[in-house]
Amino acid sequence: MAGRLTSLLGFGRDEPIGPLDYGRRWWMRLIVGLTFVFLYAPIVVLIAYSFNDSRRNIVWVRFTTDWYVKAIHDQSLLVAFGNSLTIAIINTLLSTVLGTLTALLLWRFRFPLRPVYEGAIALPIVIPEICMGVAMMAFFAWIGWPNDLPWPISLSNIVIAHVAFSFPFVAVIIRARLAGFNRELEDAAKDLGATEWRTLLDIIVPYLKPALVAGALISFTLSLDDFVITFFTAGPDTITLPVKIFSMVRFSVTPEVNAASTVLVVITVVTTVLALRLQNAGQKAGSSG
Amino acid sequence: MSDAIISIQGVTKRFGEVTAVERVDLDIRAGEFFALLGPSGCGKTTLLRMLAGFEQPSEGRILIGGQDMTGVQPNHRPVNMVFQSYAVFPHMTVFDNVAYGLKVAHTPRGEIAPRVKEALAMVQLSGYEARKPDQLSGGQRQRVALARALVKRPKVLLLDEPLSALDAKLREAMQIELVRLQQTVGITFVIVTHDQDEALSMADRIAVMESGHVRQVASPQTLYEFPSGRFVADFIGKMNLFEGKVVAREAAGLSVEVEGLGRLELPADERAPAPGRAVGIAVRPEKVELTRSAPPEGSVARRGTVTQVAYYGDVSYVFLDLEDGPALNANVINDERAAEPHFVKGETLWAAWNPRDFLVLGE
Ligand SMILES: Nc1ncnc2c1ncn2[C@@H]1O[C@H](COP(=O)(O)OP(=O)(O)O)[C@@H](O)[C@H]1O
Ligand SMILES: [Mg+2]
Repeated sequence: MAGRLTSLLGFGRDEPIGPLDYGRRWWMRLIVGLTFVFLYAPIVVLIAYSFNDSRRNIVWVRFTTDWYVKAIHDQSLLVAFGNSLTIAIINTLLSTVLGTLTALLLWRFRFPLRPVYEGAIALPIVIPEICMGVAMMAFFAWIGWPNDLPWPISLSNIVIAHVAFSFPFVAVIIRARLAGFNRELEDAAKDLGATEWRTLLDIIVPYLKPALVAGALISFTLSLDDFVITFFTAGPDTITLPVKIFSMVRFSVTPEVNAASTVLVVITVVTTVLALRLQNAGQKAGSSG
Repeated sequence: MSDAIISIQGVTKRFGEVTAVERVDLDIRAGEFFALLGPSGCGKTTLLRMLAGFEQPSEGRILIGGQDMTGVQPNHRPVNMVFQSYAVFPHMTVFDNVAYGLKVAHTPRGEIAPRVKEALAMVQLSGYEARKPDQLSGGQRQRVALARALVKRPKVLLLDEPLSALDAKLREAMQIELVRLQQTVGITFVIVTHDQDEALSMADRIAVMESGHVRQVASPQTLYEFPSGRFVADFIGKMNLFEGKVVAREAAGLSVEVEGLGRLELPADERAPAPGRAVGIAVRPEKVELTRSAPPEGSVARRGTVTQVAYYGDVSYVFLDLEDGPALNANVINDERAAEPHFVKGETLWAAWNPRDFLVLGE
């Protein structure tokens, strides 16, 4: 039965399956297949219906890009998207710098309680987002953060919250790359006459480049699609794309929401893929020297 | 003292509990090829890093070109280093690697290219300027590291185990090339190595180190033929070592009673321990003569049985058990073409020595 099923699925081959050839066992393939279906089917459906010429996401009518046109002309959606991009870009700059400096500090210097700091750095990564959100809200209320600041200063509390949860990711990525750094490269630069500062700029930063790009892209995507923490920290008048989508969905899931979400998915996927590829490339290039 | 380019004066280096280098006094002369030789962990690298300025002595001081280097940072010292890992900058081309030290020193732009070219020619890497380090072999990367240091025209070039990562053939070629290079540029070379052949064949003088101490500083030949103590005798080359006791120490000669060899009458040696004290008697394998017939009057000879013959092509190592117990290692030079080994396992031979070839080692 099983044999016939596998050949039916086109998996059957003449050579016997080796003990570690899990990839060729039909049940393994089935599990992998099902996982992909459950993970990606909703996203595929979301994207498909953003091109569907019907108000309701039930049956396929015909292909259209009307919903994208409609979304582009929705002023409040555009404002939210603009806010999201602004926050994400500022967050990326700040958390990349802050995360890199943190990683360099932890790598380069010995000081009391260093292991505690190393552990504490990872905390924002593991703390539930909802707790971070509530804590941020309480924090800004406690220090009496004003709500009536002009744009783009009005975004600054969201930026602060985003930096707080995304710079640890950068720090962890940079720290991992630094662990493989050959300290003799640093010594060699100094031996040839370079100061500490030039050694950092000429030798360490180029070595970190793939990790810097990966860290920046990850903090960008983290910020761009963050909902929970933003929802708790945003003032009544500042709305980001995920928050806007959430408020639209509360009335009904329109294809316009699908279109907006698809844009978010595409940006996030592209950046993440770039980040992963750069990190892999860096690992390969970093092994020489 | 006056011609010392490096003067290490009473230098000790501690890392917490560990004393890596202890009370070292050493003068290195201008223009010499100097080797720091010793087993792994004896403090060679630490001493070299103190010369380069990466570590500061816990005690004592280091003078380079007559100037006290205490507190002088690596980027302000007139020395350059070739690192064990070569530490070639992976993101820079060969040209940029070699030019780096000139650029940070604000060398005029017009001067950089010719000097880089000259340095690369010196290490036979002309034409490789545009390559990235990952397109080079290990040996070529090492040449880049050499050129990068030499282009700075340092007073002293420091090399930490420069050949240990190369395979045997390349290592031998590089040994010869390094000596040639040193003679061409006339810069003082200080090389760290744990490989005695490397040190013996390349260096003008060698400092033998053991657990943080310098045991002997001498020319290769002096180290080999007149080691100052047991450690150096044992560490350099192969050695047959016997334990004995001094019977008489007079102007006419030294008389020792050696376990397994009996009474030996040796030339006078005022450095030998006093009568009644324990003494080590050592002899190099190549100083032992093996014969089938009884040796002439006057030589010291003992009978022994061959237990093993190790054939190395140019020489064979013959291992014997002497009649009274001790094992003995002798070298036979295979200086004639022969299809059969000179000596075979199981045969009984005479092992003979010239009494002058015995080394007398204190405790
Ligand atoms: N930075 C350091 N911190 C602590 N101990 C060190 C350090 N560098 C070297 N040591 C110790 O000092 C001793 C000598 O080391 P090293 O100079 O590297 O020896 P070698 O180069 O002769 O093999 C070793 O016991 C080593 O563990
Ligand atoms: Mg070493």
